Amino acid sequence: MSVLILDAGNSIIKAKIARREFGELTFPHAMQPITENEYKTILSRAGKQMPPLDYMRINGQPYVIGESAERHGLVSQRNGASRYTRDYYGIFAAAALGRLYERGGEVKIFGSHPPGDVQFRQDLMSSVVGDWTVEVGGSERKFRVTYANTFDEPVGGLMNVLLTEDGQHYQRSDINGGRALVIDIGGYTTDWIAVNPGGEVDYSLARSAPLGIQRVLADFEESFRANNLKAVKDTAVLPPDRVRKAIATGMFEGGGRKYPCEHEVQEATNLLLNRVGDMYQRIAGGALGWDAIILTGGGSGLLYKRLLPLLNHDRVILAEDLEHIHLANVRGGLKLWRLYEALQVL
Amino acid sequence: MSQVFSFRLDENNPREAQAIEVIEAWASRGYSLRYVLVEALKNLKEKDSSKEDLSTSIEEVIRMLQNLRVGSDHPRDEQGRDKQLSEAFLEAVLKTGKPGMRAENLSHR
Repeated sequence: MSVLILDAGNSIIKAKIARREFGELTFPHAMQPITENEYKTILSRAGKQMPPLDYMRINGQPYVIGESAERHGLVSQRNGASRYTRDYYGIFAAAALGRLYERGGEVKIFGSHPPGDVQFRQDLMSSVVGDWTVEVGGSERKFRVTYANTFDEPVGGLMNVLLTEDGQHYQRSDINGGRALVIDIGGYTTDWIAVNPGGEVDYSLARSAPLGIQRVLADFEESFRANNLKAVKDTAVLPPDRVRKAIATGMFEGGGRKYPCEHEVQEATNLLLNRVGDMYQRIAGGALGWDAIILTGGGSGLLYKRLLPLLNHDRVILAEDLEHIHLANVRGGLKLWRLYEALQVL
Repeated sequence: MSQVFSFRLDENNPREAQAIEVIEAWASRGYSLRYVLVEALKNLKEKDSSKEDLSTSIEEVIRMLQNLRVGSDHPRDEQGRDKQLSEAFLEAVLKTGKPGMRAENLSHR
Protein backbone atom coordinates (compact mmCIF):
# COMPACT_ATOMS: atom_id res chain seq x y z
CA MET A 1 0.00 0.00 0.00
CA SER A 2 1.39 3.35 -1.04
CA VAL A 3 1.95 6.36 1.19
CA LEU A 4 1.40 10.03 0.45
CA ILE A 5 3.68 12.45 2.27
CA LEU A 6 1.89 15.76 2.71
CA ASP A 7 3.29 19.13 3.80
CA ALA A 8 0.37 21.57 3.75
CA GLY A 9 2.32 24.78 4.24
CA ASN A 10 0.62 28.14 4.63
CA SER A 11 1.88 29.24 1.25
CA ILE A 12 2.50 26.12 -0.81
CA ILE A 13 1.15 22.57 -0.51
CA LYS A 14 3.85 19.98 -1.13
CA ALA A 15 3.15 16.31 -1.65
CA LYS A 16 5.28 13.30 -2.48
CA ILE A 17 4.77 9.65 -3.29
CA ALA A 18 7.40 6.95 -3.82
CA ARG A 19 7.65 7.22 -7.58
CA ARG A 20 10.77 8.48 -9.34
CA GLU A 21 9.05 10.39 -12.12
CA PHE A 22 6.23 12.81 -11.40
CA GLY A 23 6.19 11.72 -7.77
CA GLU A 24 6.33 15.24 -6.35
CA LEU A 25 3.67 17.91 -6.52
CA THR A 26 3.42 21.51 -5.38
CA PHE A 27 0.51 23.89 -5.66
CA PRO A 28 -0.48 27.12 -3.94
CA HIS A 29 -2.40 26.94 -0.67
CA ALA A 30 -5.59 28.26 -2.24
CA MET A 31 -8.99 26.60 -2.41
CA GLN A 32 -12.60 27.53 -2.94
CA PRO A 33 -15.78 25.50 -3.38
CA ILE A 34 -17.54 26.38 -6.64
CA THR A 35 -21.02 25.76 -7.93
CA GLU A 36 -21.96 22.83 -10.12
CA ASN A 37 -22.69 25.29 -12.95
CA GLU A 38 -19.25 26.88 -12.68
CA TYR A 39 -17.65 23.44 -12.70
CA LYS A 40 -19.60 22.27 -15.73
CA THR A 41 -18.75 25.49 -17.56
CA ILE A 42 -15.04 24.86 -17.03
CA LEU A 43 -15.38 21.28 -18.27
CA SER A 44 -17.34 22.29 -21.33
CA ARG A 45 -14.77 24.96 -22.23
CA ALA A 46 -12.07 22.31 -22.12
CA GLY A 47 -13.96 20.36 -24.78
CA LYS A 48 -12.01 17.34 -25.94
CA GLN A 49 -8.87 18.48 -24.12
CA MET A 50 -8.16 17.44 -20.56
CA PRO A 51 -9.88 19.82 -18.16
CA PRO A 52 -7.56 21.96 -16.02
CA LEU A 53 -6.27 19.95 -13.07
CA ASP A 54 -7.05 22.78 -10.66
CA TYR A 55 -10.76 22.08 -11.01
CA MET A 56 -11.95 18.91 -9.39
CA ARG A 57 -14.93 17.34 -7.73
CA ILE A 58 -14.21 15.85 -4.31
CA ASN A 59 -16.85 13.70 -2.66
CA GLY A 60 -19.46 15.27 -4.88
CA GLN A 61 -18.51 18.93 -4.28
CA PRO A 62 -16.67 20.87 -7.01
CA TYR A 63 -13.64 22.94 -6.01
CA VAL A 64 -10.98 25.08 -7.59
CA ILE A 65 -7.66 24.33 -5.88
CA GLY A 66 -4.17 25.69 -6.46
CA GLU A 67 -2.94 28.15 -9.04
CA SER A 68 -6.32 28.91 -10.59
CA ALA A 69 -7.80 29.63 -7.18
CA GLU A 70 -4.85 31.87 -6.30
CA ARG A 71 -5.02 33.71 -9.63
CA HIS A 72 -8.63 34.57 -9.01
CA GLY A 73 -7.94 35.68 -5.47
CA LEU A 74 -9.87 32.76 -4.02
CA VAL A 75 -7.73 31.99 -1.02
CA SER A 76 -9.27 30.38 2.01
CA GLN A 77 -6.77 30.43 4.84
CA ARG A 78 -7.34 28.81 8.18
CA ASN A 79 -5.05 28.51 11.16
CA GLY A 80 -4.75 26.27 14.15
CA ALA A 81 -7.27 23.53 14.82
CA SER A 82 -9.74 24.98 12.31
CA ARG A 83 -7.52 23.97 9.42
CA TYR A 84 -7.47 20.29 10.32
CA THR A 85 -10.98 19.47 9.21
CA ARG A 86 -12.31 17.22 6.53
CA ASP A 87 -13.57 20.15 4.48
CA TYR A 88 -10.21 21.93 4.50
CA TYR A 89 -7.06 19.88 5.14
CA GLY A 90 -8.94 16.82 3.91
CA ILE A 91 -9.71 18.54 0.62
CA PHE A 92 -6.06 19.47 0.04
CA ALA A 93 -5.07 15.89 0.81
CA ALA A 94 -7.69 14.53 -1.60
CA ALA A 95 -6.55 16.97 -4.27
CA ALA A 96 -2.97 15.74 -3.88
CA LEU A 97 -4.14 12.12 -4.09
CA GLY A 98 -6.12 12.84 -7.24
CA ARG A 99 -3.26 14.58 -8.98
CA LEU A 100 -0.46 12.21 -8.00
CA TYR A 101 -2.08 8.80 -8.42
CA GLU A 102 -3.24 7.55 -11.80
CA ARG A 103 -5.58 5.05 -10.14
CA GLY A 104 -7.53 4.93 -6.90
CA GLY A 105 -7.12 2.39 -4.14
CA GLU A 106 -5.98 2.14 -0.56
CA VAL A 107 -3.37 4.63 0.59
CA LYS A 108 -1.77 5.88 3.77
CA ILE A 109 -1.04 9.52 4.56
CA PHE A 110 1.94 10.84 6.51
CA GLY A 111 1.19 14.51 7.11
CA SER A 112 3.49 17.15 8.54
CA HIS A 113 2.58 20.04 10.82
CA PRO A 114 4.41 23.00 12.39
CA PRO A 115 5.79 22.08 15.82
CA GLY A 116 3.15 24.22 17.53
CA ASP A 117 0.37 22.20 15.91
CA VAL A 118 1.39 18.90 17.51
CA GLN A 119 -1.62 19.35 19.81
CA PHE A 120 -3.88 19.10 16.75
CA ARG A 121 -2.38 15.93 15.29
CA GLN A 122 -5.47 13.86 16.09
CA ASP A 123 -7.55 16.39 14.15
CA LEU A 124 -5.10 16.21 11.25
CA MET A 125 -5.32 12.44 11.02
CA SER A 126 -9.06 12.41 11.49
CA SER A 127 -9.49 14.90 8.65
CA VAL A 128 -7.91 12.57 6.07
CA VAL A 129 -8.76 9.02 7.10
CA GLY A 130 -11.71 7.56 5.22
CA ASP A 131 -13.08 7.50 1.70
CA TRP A 132 -12.42 10.08 -0.97
CA THR A 133 -13.87 10.18 -4.46
CA VAL A 134 -11.88 12.55 -6.61
CA GLU A 135 -12.82 13.56 -10.15
CA VAL A 136 -9.91 15.31 -11.87
CA GLY A 137 -8.65 15.63 -15.41
CA GLY A 138 -11.77 13.95 -16.72
CA SER A 139 -11.54 10.77 -14.66
CA GLU A 140 -12.77 9.65 -11.29
CA ARG A 141 -10.67 7.88 -8.68
CA LYS A 142 -11.80 6.37 -5.40
CA PHE A 143 -9.34 6.38 -2.54
CA ARG A 144 -9.58 4.86 0.88
CA VAL A 145 -7.12 6.36 3.34
CA THR A 146 -6.72 3.45 5.71
CA TYR A 147 -4.05 4.91 7.97
CA ALA A 148 -2.60 8.30 8.85
CA ASN A 149 0.25 9.51 10.99
CA THR A 150 2.10 12.78 11.44
CA PHE A 151 5.55 14.34 11.75
CA ASP A 152 6.91 17.78 12.58
CA GLU A 153 7.86 19.80 9.51
CA PRO A 154 11.40 20.65 10.67
CA VAL A 155 12.01 16.99 11.56
CA GLY A 156 11.31 16.22 7.91
CA GLY A 157 14.07 18.64 6.98
CA LEU A 158 16.42 17.07 9.52
CA MET A 159 15.76 13.54 8.29
CA ASN A 160 16.37 14.62 4.73
CA VAL A 161 19.87 15.61 5.78
CA LEU A 162 20.53 12.65 8.05
CA LEU A 163 19.13 9.67 6.17
CA THR A 164 19.65 7.98 2.82
CA GLU A 165 16.64 7.46 0.57
CA ASP A 166 15.85 4.07 2.03
CA GLY A 167 15.69 5.69 5.45
CA GLN A 168 17.99 3.07 6.91
CA HIS A 169 21.49 4.50 6.68
CA TYR A 170 23.14 7.76 7.53
CA GLN A 171 23.61 10.07 4.62
CA ARG A 172 25.53 12.26 7.03
CA SER A 173 26.69 10.80 10.29
CA ASP A 174 28.73 13.82 11.34
CA ILE A 175 25.75 15.59 12.86
CA ASN A 176 23.94 12.69 14.44
CA GLY A 177 25.94 12.66 17.64
CA GLY A 178 25.23 16.31 18.40
CA ARG A 179 22.42 18.71 19.20
CA ALA A 180 20.95 20.35 16.12
CA LEU A 181 18.83 23.44 15.65
CA VAL A 182 16.46 23.18 12.71
CA ILE A 183 15.17 26.44 11.28
CA ASP A 184 12.30 26.15 8.79
CA ILE A 185 11.59 29.39 6.91
CA GLY A 186 8.31 28.96 5.09
CA GLY A 187 5.90 31.21 3.28
CA TYR A 188 4.26 32.80 6.29
CA THR A 189 5.99 31.33 9.32
CA THR A 190 9.46 30.57 10.59
CA ASP A 191 9.58 27.49 12.78
CA TRP A 192 12.35 26.40 15.12
CA ILE A 193 12.95 23.06 16.65
CA ALA A 194 15.80 21.56 18.67
CA VAL A 195 16.85 18.00 18.11
CA ASN A 196 18.82 16.11 20.73
CA PRO A 197 21.59 13.67 19.90
CA GLY A 198 19.92 10.69 18.32
CA GLY A 199 17.12 12.63 16.67
CA GLU A 200 14.74 13.11 19.57
CA VAL A 201 12.78 16.35 19.24
CA ASP A 202 13.02 18.80 22.13
CA TYR A 203 9.63 20.48 22.09
CA SER A 204 10.58 22.86 24.88
CA LEU A 205 12.44 24.87 22.28
CA ALA A 206 9.82 24.65 19.53
CA ARG A 207 8.77 28.08 18.33
CA SER A 208 6.78 29.45 15.45
CA ALA A 209 7.06 33.09 14.42
CA PRO A 210 4.41 34.60 12.11
CA LEU A 211 6.95 35.81 9.62
CA GLY A 212 8.00 34.16 6.39
CA ILE A 213 9.38 34.67 2.94
CA GLN A 214 6.11 35.94 1.43
CA ARG A 215 6.46 39.15 3.45
CA VAL A 216 10.02 39.53 2.17
CA LEU A 217 8.89 39.10 -1.45
CA ALA A 218 6.08 41.64 -1.01
CA ASP A 219 8.34 44.18 0.70
CA PHE A 220 10.98 43.79 -2.00
CA GLU A 221 8.46 44.37 -4.77
CA GLU A 222 7.21 47.51 -3.07
CA SER A 223 10.73 48.84 -2.62
CA PHE A 224 11.92 47.92 -6.10
CA ARG A 225 8.90 49.51 -7.72
CA ALA A 226 9.38 52.71 -5.79
CA ASN A 227 13.00 52.95 -6.92
CA ASN A 228 12.52 51.82 -10.53
CA LEU A 229 9.30 53.45 -11.65
CA LYS A 230 10.18 53.61 -15.31
CA ALA A 231 11.25 49.98 -15.52
CA VAL A 232 8.12 48.57 -13.90
CA LYS A 233 5.46 50.86 -15.32
CA ASP A 234 4.06 48.20 -17.67
CA THR A 235 4.34 45.31 -15.21
CA ALA A 236 1.46 44.85 -12.82
CA VAL A 237 3.19 42.12 -10.84
CA LEU A 238 6.89 41.36 -10.96
CA PRO A 239 7.58 37.77 -12.11
CA PRO A 240 7.95 35.78 -8.85
CA ASP A 241 10.92 33.73 -10.09
CA ARG A 242 12.87 36.90 -10.96
CA VAL A 243 12.03 38.42 -7.59
CA ARG A 244 13.35 35.30 -5.85
CA LYS A 245 16.55 35.41 -7.85
CA ALA A 246 16.97 39.10 -7.05
CA ILE A 247 16.67 38.42 -3.33
CA ALA A 248 19.21 35.63 -3.54
CA THR A 249 21.71 37.59 -5.62
CA GLY A 250 21.03 41.32 -5.08
CA MET A 251 20.54 41.82 -8.80
CA PHE A 252 17.20 41.97 -10.61
CA GLU A 253 17.41 40.78 -14.20
CA GLY A 254 14.70 41.60 -16.67
CA GLY A 255 14.06 43.25 -20.02
CA GLY A 256 17.60 42.36 -21.03
CA ARG A 257 19.01 44.52 -18.25
CA LYS A 258 20.40 44.10 -14.78
CA TYR A 259 19.15 46.31 -11.97
CA PRO A 260 21.33 46.35 -8.86
CA CYS A 261 18.96 46.04 -5.94
CA GLU A 262 21.03 45.13 -2.91
CA HIS A 263 19.60 48.08 -1.04
CA GLU A 264 16.01 46.98 -1.69
CA VAL A 265 16.87 43.40 -0.75
CA GLN A 266 18.38 44.50 2.53
CA GLU A 267 15.32 46.59 3.32
CA ALA A 268 13.01 43.69 2.51
CA THR A 269 14.94 41.04 4.41
CA ASN A 270 15.85 43.09 7.48
CA LEU A 271 12.61 42.44 9.32
CA LEU A 272 12.83 38.67 8.96
CA LEU A 273 16.56 38.50 9.53
CA ASN A 274 16.34 40.70 12.62
CA ARG A 275 13.60 38.48 13.99
CA VAL A 276 15.64 35.36 13.29
CA GLY A 277 18.68 36.95 14.93
CA ASP A 278 16.68 37.98 17.97
CA MET A 279 15.19 34.52 18.43
CA TYR A 280 18.59 32.95 17.83
CA GLN A 281 20.09 34.90 20.70
CA ARG A 282 17.15 34.95 23.12
CA ILE A 283 15.77 31.45 22.68
CA ALA A 284 18.47 29.35 21.09
CA GLY A 285 21.28 31.01 23.02
CA GLY A 286 23.44 31.69 19.98
CA ALA A 287 25.85 29.36 18.22
CA LEU A 288 27.72 27.68 21.05
CA GLY A 289 24.95 25.33 22.19
CA TRP A 290 24.56 23.67 18.79
CA ASP A 291 26.65 21.16 16.91
CA ALA A 292 24.82 21.91 13.68
CA ILE A 293 22.19 24.24 12.30
CA ILE A 294 19.94 22.89 9.62
CA LEU A 295 18.06 25.24 7.33
CA THR A 296 14.94 23.98 5.60
CA GLY A 297 11.89 25.47 3.89
CA GLY A 298 11.73 27.56 0.74
CA GLY A 299 12.76 30.75 2.49
CA SER A 300 16.04 29.23 3.67
CA GLY A 301 17.26 28.85 0.15
CA LEU A 302 16.66 32.48 -0.70
CA LEU A 303 18.17 33.82 2.50
CA TYR A 304 20.99 31.33 2.90
CA LYS A 305 23.89 33.70 2.23
CA ARG A 306 22.39 36.36 4.47
CA LEU A 307 21.75 33.93 7.30
CA LEU A 308 25.32 32.66 7.47
CA PRO A 309 26.89 35.73 9.12
CA LEU A 310 23.89 35.99 11.42
CA LEU A 311 24.18 32.41 12.62
CA ASN A 312 27.97 32.60 12.94
CA HIS A 313 28.26 28.82 13.01
CA ASP A 314 30.71 26.66 11.09
CA ARG A 315 28.21 23.91 10.40
CA VAL A 316 25.16 25.40 8.74
CA ILE A 317 23.59 22.79 6.49
CA LEU A 318 20.88 23.20 3.90
CA ALA A 319 18.32 20.40 4.07
CA GLU A 320 18.28 20.08 0.26
CA ASP A 321 19.87 21.73 -2.76
CA LEU A 322 18.79 25.32 -3.28
CA GLU A 323 16.47 24.57 -6.18
CA HIS A 324 14.50 21.95 -4.25
CA ILE A 325 14.80 23.12 -0.66
CA HIS A 326 11.07 23.73 -0.43
CA LEU A 327 10.70 19.95 -0.86
CA ALA A 328 13.17 19.04 1.90
CA ASN A 329 10.45 18.35 4.46
CA VAL A 330 8.41 15.98 2.30
CA ARG A 331 11.52 14.21 0.99
CA GLY A 332 12.70 13.76 4.56
CA GLY A 333 9.21 12.69 5.53
CA LEU A 334 9.37 9.79 3.09
CA LYS A 335 12.76 8.73 4.47
CA LEU A 336 11.36 8.88 8.01
CA TRP A 337 8.33 6.83 6.94
CA ARG A 338 10.60 4.15 5.49
CA LEU A 339 12.58 4.05 8.71
CA TYR A 340 9.40 3.79 10.75
CA GLU A 341 8.27 0.92 8.55
CA ALA A 342 11.58 -0.89 9.00
CA LEU A 343 11.36 -0.40 12.77
CA GLN A 344 7.67 -1.41 12.74
CA VAL A 345 6.74 1.77 14.53
CA LEU A 346 3.64 2.36 12.41
CA MET B 1 29.49 21.59 -4.55
CA SER B 2 27.90 19.03 -6.90
CA GLN B 3 29.28 17.45 -10.01
CA VAL B 4 27.12 16.30 -12.89
CA PHE B 5 27.72 12.99 -14.57
CA SER B 6 25.69 11.82 -17.54
CA PHE B 7 25.89 8.59 -19.45
CA ARG B 8 23.99 6.53 -22.01
CA LEU B 9 22.89 2.96 -21.76
CA ASP B 10 22.30 1.17 -25.03
CA GLU B 11 19.27 -1.14 -25.07
CA ASN B 12 20.88 -3.19 -27.82
CA ASN B 13 23.80 -4.02 -25.58
CA PRO B 14 22.74 -7.03 -23.46
CA ARG B 15 24.72 -5.93 -20.39
CA GLU B 16 23.46 -2.36 -20.59
CA ALA B 17 19.90 -3.55 -21.24
CA GLN B 18 20.16 -5.53 -18.03
CA ALA B 19 21.40 -2.43 -16.22
CA ILE B 20 18.40 -0.48 -17.56
CA GLU B 21 16.04 -3.13 -16.20
CA VAL B 22 17.60 -2.94 -12.77
CA ILE B 23 17.49 0.86 -12.73
CA GLU B 24 13.82 0.84 -13.78
CA ALA B 25 12.96 -1.72 -11.11
CA TRP B 26 14.48 0.48 -8.43
CA ALA B 27 12.89 3.61 -9.89
CA SER B 28 9.48 2.00 -9.68
CA ARG B 29 10.05 1.64 -5.95
CA GLY B 30 10.75 5.36 -5.72
CA TYR B 31 14.54 5.34 -5.52
CA SER B 32 16.50 7.85 -7.53
CA LEU B 33 19.17 6.94 -10.04
CA ARG B 34 21.60 8.94 -7.96
CA TYR B 35 20.98 6.81 -4.88
CA VAL B 36 21.26 3.53 -6.77
CA LEU B 37 24.51 4.45 -8.46
CA VAL B 38 26.09 5.84 -5.31
CA GLU B 39 25.38 2.60 -3.45
CA ALA B 40 26.60 0.41 -6.31
CA LEU B 41 29.75 2.41 -6.93
CA LYS B 42 30.63 2.46 -3.24
CA ASN B 43 30.56 -1.32 -3.32
CA LEU B 44 32.64 -1.29 -6.46
CA LYS B 45 35.29 0.76 -4.72
CA GLU B 46 35.85 -2.06 -2.28
CA LYS B 47 36.99 -4.29 -5.09
CA ASP B 48 40.30 -3.90 -6.83
CA SER B 49 38.83 -2.58 -10.05
CA SER B 50 42.25 -1.46 -11.35
CA LYS B 51 42.99 -5.01 -12.44
CA GLU B 52 39.71 -5.35 -14.34
CA ASP B 53 38.74 -4.02 -17.72
CA LEU B 54 35.77 -1.71 -18.27
CA SER B 55 33.35 -4.40 -19.41
CA THR B 56 34.04 -6.42 -16.28
CA SER B 57 33.49 -3.31 -14.17
CA ILE B 58 30.09 -2.75 -15.78
CA GLU B 59 29.14 -6.36 -15.06
CA GLU B 60 30.16 -5.86 -11.45
CA VAL B 61 27.99 -2.74 -11.19
CA ILE B 62 25.02 -4.63 -12.63
CA ARG B 63 25.53 -7.49 -10.18
CA MET B 64 25.75 -5.06 -7.32
CA LEU B 65 22.61 -3.22 -8.40
CA GLN B 66 20.77 -6.53 -8.47
CA ASN B 67 22.06 -7.42 -5.07
CA LEU B 68 21.14 -4.13 -3.40
CA ARG B 69 18.60 -4.84 -0.70
CA VAL B 70 15.45 -2.82 -0.18
CA GLY B 71 13.61 -2.15 3.09
CA SER B 72 15.35 -4.75 5.14
CA ASP B 73 13.49 -5.81 8.29
CA HIS B 74 16.80 -5.53 10.06
CA PRO B 75 18.28 -2.16 9.21
CA ARG B 76 21.21 -2.83 11.47
CA ASP B 77 22.30 -5.65 9.18
CA GLU B 78 22.82 -3.36 6.20
CA GLN B 79 26.26 -2.97 4.67
CA GLY B 80 28.52 -0.04 5.55
CA ARG B 81 29.32 -0.17 9.22
CA ASP B 82 30.18 3.52 9.23
CA LYS B 83 26.75 4.36 7.74
CA GLN B 84 24.71 2.17 10.08
CA LEU B 85 22.20 3.98 12.18
CA SER B 86 23.33 4.03 15.78
CA GLU B 87 21.43 2.28 18.55
CA ALA B 88 20.91 5.61 20.29
CA PHE B 89 19.45 7.13 17.16
CA LEU B 90 17.11 4.20 16.58
CA GLU B 91 15.96 4.26 20.18
CA ALA B 92 15.27 7.98 19.87
CA VAL B 93 13.29 7.39 16.69
CA LEU B 94 11.26 4.66 18.40
CA LYS B 95 10.55 7.04 21.27
CA THR B 96 9.44 9.87 19.03
CA GLY B 97 7.11 7.74 16.92
CA LYS B 98 3.53 8.63 17.73
CA PRO B 99 0.41 6.49 17.33
CA GLY B 100 -1.36 6.76 14.01
CA MET B 101 -5.02 6.48 13.16
CA ARG B 102 -6.65 3.65 11.26
CA ALA B 103 -9.79 3.81 9.18
CA GLU B 104 -11.51 1.10 11.20
CA ASN B 105 -11.28 3.38 14.25
CA LEU B 106 -13.79 5.72 12.61
CA SER B 107 -17.39 5.20 11.68
CA HIS B 108 -17.92 4.76 7.92
CA ARG B 109 -17.57 8.00 5.98
